[in-house]
Amino acid sequence: MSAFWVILRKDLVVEGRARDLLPSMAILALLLLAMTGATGLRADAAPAILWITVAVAGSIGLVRSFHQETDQEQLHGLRLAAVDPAMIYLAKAAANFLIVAAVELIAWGAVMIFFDIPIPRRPAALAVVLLLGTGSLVAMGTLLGAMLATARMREALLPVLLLPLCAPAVMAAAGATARLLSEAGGPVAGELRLLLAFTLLFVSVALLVFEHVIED
Amino acid sequence: MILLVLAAAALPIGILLALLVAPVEAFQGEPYRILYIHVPSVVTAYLAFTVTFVASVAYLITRRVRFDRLAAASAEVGQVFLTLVLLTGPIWGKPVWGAWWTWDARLTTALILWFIFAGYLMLRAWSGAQGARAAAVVAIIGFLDVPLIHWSAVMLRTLHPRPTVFRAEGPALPASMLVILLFNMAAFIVTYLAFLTVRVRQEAMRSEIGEAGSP
Repeated sequence: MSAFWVILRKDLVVEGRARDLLPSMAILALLLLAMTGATGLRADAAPAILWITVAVAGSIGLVRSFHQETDQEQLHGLRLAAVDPAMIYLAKAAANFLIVAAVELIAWGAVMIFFDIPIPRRPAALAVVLLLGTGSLVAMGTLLGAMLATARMREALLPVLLLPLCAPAVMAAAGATARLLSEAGGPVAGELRLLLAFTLLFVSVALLVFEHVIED
Repeated sequence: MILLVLAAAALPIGILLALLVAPVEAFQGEPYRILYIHVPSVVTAYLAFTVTFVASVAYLITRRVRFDRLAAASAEVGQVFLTLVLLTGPIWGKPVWGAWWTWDARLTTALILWFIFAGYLMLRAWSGAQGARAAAVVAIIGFLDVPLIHWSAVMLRTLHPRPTVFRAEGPALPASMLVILLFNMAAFIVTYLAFLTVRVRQEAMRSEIGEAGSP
């Protein structure tokens, strides 16, 4: 368990010192939102564009999370220290989650301003949707980051694999977000169920296959 | 070899049957004939990806290279058939529905599946030694994803014709059409198997040459 906190803290400290990943992701997210607004996207499409933006901007961070570990074979060090691979995955996923969530909050603020979205009437449900949607993307993206650590074109490959594999989560999250922000409102139980199922299913799959994926 | 011959014979026969022998459909007219290519392609593509899924699981468990080769070859051939599905669909849809594309559950799922396997094939092309294992994981996750993608798309909308062949109560096509459809399905599956065998053998030979060449 302590390995989890050590790795999590390490990743956050590294980012805290470098301060390059979060600003890049945030600027890209803001830029995408700004350009979609500038090119005429209507407010009712804003939820969809928010989630696509989070997935794409998030991919930048997710690619990095394991690549930096190949640079000086840090991953070997972790394995040699007999750290449970599941802990490595969970810690990395947790660190990625915090970083992507930060980007998402910034993106969300921009969406509310750029598209003049009123204060949501059901903030709790919205928060759950945001959490589960981000969780799904990060759970899958962390696994993909590990798998692609030594691949060529990994920067392009990660979003190319992440988006279709996370399509159910992105679609459900966008649909639920749209409904929660609309005038009419409506139930989002179906989408929440799907998001929960997706997150649980793919975290389980990730935990099962992770150690096969990082050995060589 | 025999599969290739069979395929080469069956495919043209199937197409001729579809164009000349099959009766005209009451509501849709002539354009419906593309069903005889579209539906068998769908069946074959999903069959191919199921093979990839099973082979990927087998590969992760046993680490035997033959399963990896099978998975890769089946994904390649499957992707060709899925591309055919995505091309014939709009050609059928435009005259019959008035639109090239809609975002209903089946189309959305097929399109996203196409991207999943495009990513799979790109990963195979560009990854290093870890590639086989990573690809296997992508195939497994991708395959398991299909019902979930369908679920989420259904929650958003639906327009694809109600199933007339694959229904619980049995096919709703008249016998004359059904027979030709089934013949074409068999022809497509034989074609798939023929290409699959060729591809797997190719990969086996390639690794043999690779091993012989190394010091």
